[in-house]
Amino acid sequence: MMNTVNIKINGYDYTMKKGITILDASFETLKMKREYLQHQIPTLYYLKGVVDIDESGVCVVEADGEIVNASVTRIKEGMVIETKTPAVMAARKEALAKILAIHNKSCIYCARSTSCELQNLLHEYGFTNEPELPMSKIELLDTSSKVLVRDNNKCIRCKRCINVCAKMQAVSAIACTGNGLDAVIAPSSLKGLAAASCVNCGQCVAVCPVGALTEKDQTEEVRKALADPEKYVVVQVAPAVRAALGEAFEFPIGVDVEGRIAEALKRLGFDKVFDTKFGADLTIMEEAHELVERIQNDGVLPMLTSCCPGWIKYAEHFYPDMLDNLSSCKSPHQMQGAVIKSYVAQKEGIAKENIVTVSVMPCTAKKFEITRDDENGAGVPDVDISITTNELAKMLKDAEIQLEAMNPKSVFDNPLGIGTGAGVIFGATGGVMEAALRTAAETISGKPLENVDFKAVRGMNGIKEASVDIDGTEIKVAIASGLANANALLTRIKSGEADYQFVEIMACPGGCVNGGGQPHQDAKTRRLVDVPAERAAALYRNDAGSSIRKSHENPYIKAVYEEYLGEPGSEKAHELLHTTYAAR
Amino acid sequence: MIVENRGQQQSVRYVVDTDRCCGCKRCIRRCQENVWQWDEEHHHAYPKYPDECVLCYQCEMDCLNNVIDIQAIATLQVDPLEYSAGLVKSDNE
Amino acid sequence: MADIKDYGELYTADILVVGGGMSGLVTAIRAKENDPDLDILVIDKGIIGWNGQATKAGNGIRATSKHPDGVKNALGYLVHAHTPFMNDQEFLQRYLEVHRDNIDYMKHCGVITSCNENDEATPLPFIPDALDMGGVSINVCAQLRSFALKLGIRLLSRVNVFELLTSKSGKVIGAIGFDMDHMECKIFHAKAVAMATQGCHFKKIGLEFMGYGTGVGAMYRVGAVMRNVEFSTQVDVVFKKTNTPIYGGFNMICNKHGENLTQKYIGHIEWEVTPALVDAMVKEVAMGNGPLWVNLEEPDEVRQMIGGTDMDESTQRMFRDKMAWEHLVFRKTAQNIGDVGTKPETTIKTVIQVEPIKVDTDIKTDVEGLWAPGKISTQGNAYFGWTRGDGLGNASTTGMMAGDSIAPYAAKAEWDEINLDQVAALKEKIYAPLNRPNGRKPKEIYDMIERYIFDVNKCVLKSEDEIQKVYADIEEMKKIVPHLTADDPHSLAKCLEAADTILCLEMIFRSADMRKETRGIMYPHYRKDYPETDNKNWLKWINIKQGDNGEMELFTEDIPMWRYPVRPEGYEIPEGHVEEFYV
Repeated sequence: MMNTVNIKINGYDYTMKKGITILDASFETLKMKREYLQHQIPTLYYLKGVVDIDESGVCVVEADGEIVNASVTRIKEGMVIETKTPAVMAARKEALAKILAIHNKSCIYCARSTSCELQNLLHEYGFTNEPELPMSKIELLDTSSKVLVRDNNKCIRCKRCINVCAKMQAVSAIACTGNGLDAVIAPSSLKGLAAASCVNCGQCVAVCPVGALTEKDQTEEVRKALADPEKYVVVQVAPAVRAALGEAFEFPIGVDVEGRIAEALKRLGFDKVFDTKFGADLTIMEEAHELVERIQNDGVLPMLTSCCPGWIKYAEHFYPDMLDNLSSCKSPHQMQGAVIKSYVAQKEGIAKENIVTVSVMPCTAKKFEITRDDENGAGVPDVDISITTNELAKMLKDAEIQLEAMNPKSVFDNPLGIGTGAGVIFGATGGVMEAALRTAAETISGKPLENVDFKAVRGMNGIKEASVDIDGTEIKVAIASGLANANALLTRIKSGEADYQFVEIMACPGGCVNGGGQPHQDAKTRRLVDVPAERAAALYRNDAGSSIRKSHENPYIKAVYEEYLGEPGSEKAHELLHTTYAAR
Repeated sequence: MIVENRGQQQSVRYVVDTDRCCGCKRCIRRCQENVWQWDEEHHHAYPKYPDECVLCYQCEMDCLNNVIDIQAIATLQVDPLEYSAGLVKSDNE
Repeated sequence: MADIKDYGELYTADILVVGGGMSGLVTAIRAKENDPDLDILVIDKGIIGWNGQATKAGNGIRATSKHPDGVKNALGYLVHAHTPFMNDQEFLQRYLEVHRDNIDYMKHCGVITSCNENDEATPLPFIPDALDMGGVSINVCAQLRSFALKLGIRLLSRVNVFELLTSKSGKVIGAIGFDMDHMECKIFHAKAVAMATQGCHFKKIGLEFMGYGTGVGAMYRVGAVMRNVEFSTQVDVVFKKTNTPIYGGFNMICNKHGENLTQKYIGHIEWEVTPALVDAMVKEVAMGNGPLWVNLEEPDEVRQMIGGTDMDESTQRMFRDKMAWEHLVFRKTAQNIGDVGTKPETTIKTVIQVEPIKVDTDIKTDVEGLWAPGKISTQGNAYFGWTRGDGLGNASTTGMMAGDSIAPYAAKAEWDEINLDQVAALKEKIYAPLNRPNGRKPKEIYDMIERYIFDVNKCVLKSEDEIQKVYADIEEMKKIVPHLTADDPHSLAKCLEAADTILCLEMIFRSADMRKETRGIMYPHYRKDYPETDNKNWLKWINIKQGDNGEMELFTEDIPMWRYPVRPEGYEIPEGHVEEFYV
């Protein structure tokens, strides 16, 4: 039996794997070097791993003389495929016109304008002189959530958000009734997204092809703070942001723009520009200490990481019985915020009430996290405003700051501007684990670690397991990214099938690099490029190029403990850097 | 918005549906001759310096919402051969 | 104490590259690859990655053949091709060696190039084993931009630079200009500067791109030497209706009686539009035999080869993006102006280019710390005889050469202090046209210059009388300059550009006046009063520089033929020199 079939696309011959769809075949041609051999079929609903069947009506071709849906039809021997016949083009235009009738076309006010997949299709299909189609009905925005805004007037019913929420995240905060363009997409709670079990991970925002789902824009608040001469405005930037911000400025995917961000933020007018890498190092100090403590004193195991606010809320909703397993450590940006409002305030001689901490995060859930209880170590909120990578890109563009012109060798401000390679890999799945192991290994063995690369915990797999031997002590660890994977892993842990000491969980598939607040990449790019892996690779390159690669060797971390906190796990550290959880 | 320029070598009419401008600023980005400028007040791009246009049509081709229509309404006003042969009366412009 | 920041925003970088088109980006990339520790800043008046000629014009790119005799063959062809024997053959030799890796280097930089099935460029059919040909995407600059950003090069868009800053010893250490949105003064401080600004083009015609000579002017004022400016005119035969070229149609021109002009006046077919043909066309029209027309239904061999219309997606040079653009242009032209038909009326279109910066084999100019890669030095490096259709290859190859030599220079160079008085004076000069009362507009000057494009007797078929008339015009234009007024960044730039464009114009006619012979086929220098090529007296370059008194200074330089491999027939080594070329 042959495993391949011969087909013809637009007159050119191809040999393709048996059983793939016409759409898959077209993606195969896109990998070819010579341009005339490449044949693209437009998609609007399809998204790799999220929506397999594109029912938008644009994903059609002529196969053996009949118009068929390319995402459904499989290729067979001798099939003749035409992607651009007049009939096909007419069918696509008709489909686009129908979608336009339910889509609010005020692009100029839309956050997704220019990275909108619908807009790009309309451009390609030359919708020039179409009469302005009136909207069939107008719905109110759902602004109930602190984090996300849903605008059903823009929704094109692709159901990517529903699928990503149910399939990848096992949350199902959004659901759908009805079919086709009449379908009603709504939160599972009638009171809006806020009342649903939504964990604010923002994956729905990341996959939305249009601007129907967006993060709540807080850039105006930042601008106000910057304009207020009374306020001392401090900003911190998460590791994953540097791996993706460039994309908003048309850098290639996976370029580390760490130095460029530092200079850009200084130009925006922040009084201090800090790196959350420092907070990550601080987290490692506390978390590794907590882990060693639990292992040595028979504490609750496995210990689950607590860096990810999406995961925390998920645990509070769905695993209330495992809250004791969660590390009591705050997330890195909260820790850093607390240190800014205590240690830095004291050092710089500024009243903590006058400090505004802004954090730039790849994450939408951080907007929720800063409003949680017990996230005010110094008596004032640790972090005042949290904006996403996308919002920072918007601020820079509005201020006409060209990220391309910034110097890649610029550095962050001190004392919280130096972070280690261990801190930077927090942005990728497995990174927290690796950073913790580097410190825990030296803490347990008391000897310097020779090889700091724990390659077993790297990679884009949803669930990773490893067993690490540290000076004769075997530590069994597991890593899950994507809440559906976390769910599967926790089920096994609860049933006793698996037995770990330390488990890292990140809500977003691939970790923070693939966060809900990162720049949008369209379906074609996501199919041809492993976007989270490229971004993660940038972080690992950053780590490999760092002069200090272990959190506890960070000189400023040492200084903070010496001058202020005492030692990891001290009372002062607990007051500032640890938090509590409650079932929801 | 309709903007025209009249030149010795070409005349161009820009027909721009500024209401549907999506603000992508691709026209500004693509234009070699700085024809396009952003109107801060009304939030749209417009051809502020049509005299500089070299008729490359790149702005029209790149415009994300397809709102630009460039029409070359006339080309050469003077035939170089006739001019050089002394058949065109000397120009007072 | 005055501070530099009082005058404008200061940017520092080890290397400043002015111009973010193809050659500027390749220079920066190559320099950064040579020495990753260097801080390199590229600036452009447009937006880097989408600007520059390469993003619109041709899509062909060439490389010297990998045949063992490739360099030799190409050299032999190029010396004879366009302006015979005016090349700096030592430069050309080195150029062609680097040019060999041209297409491969573009691939390395992430540029999508089209080649044959084996991913190789294909040989040009009419010059065996000399040059290979491939195509590049119209988005070549965007692809180079991506690569540059990956390497950590800084790119600053929308800054227009008009003057160069120099140290006490005359070394170039920076530049000054303003940003095109808010007209804020920007000052650049660097150890070495590469001016990839392209030259000056006196035209504004559909699909032809305008340069204003600001780079030429700035370099002239810091002492750079210019060369071969008289070889600046190129003529195309065009459809009268659309003013777009009839590629390869120049041997098919007929008068109204149907007589073929090539047969009537020249006697043999040509591969370029020659001054003799232009002369013939003007004569015919003057005699009342116009309008002239071309029969496209019966293409001759030149038309078939150059103007081939059988380009489709599988033809290796054509890219989908370029084709989409061409289709749009053709469709819109037909829609708005009408179809040209198969027996269209024809006329000529003149293109005047001034790209005269003299550079050595490292693309370095005569001024310390100053490089000139790309189009701006194509006449000056004496390689204006690039094969037609290799502007992109010239951009990348000169960029590679410049990058290779500027990187070690900048790594070793010291920081020289900026002279604040100079900054103050130049800033005042740049902003001077702002809001002058009762001012005049730069358009007046450009309209005058544009008229030369119509006047064959001034720009193609030059003579003593006509040159004197141009001198008078130039004096008149110069009188307007101090009265030019501007009110925004765009018009301010136009005012400054106008002055430099006049400077370029003066250079052309001053050197054309000096060269009392006729030479060249493409980019010819043609004197009605000296219609013969004079290899005896005029194997000389005419160089131009700014004299100590600020006046334009012209001087000739013997072409060192005794060092070169390719020489005119019957050439004898002049007295005082000996044979210096050894194989």
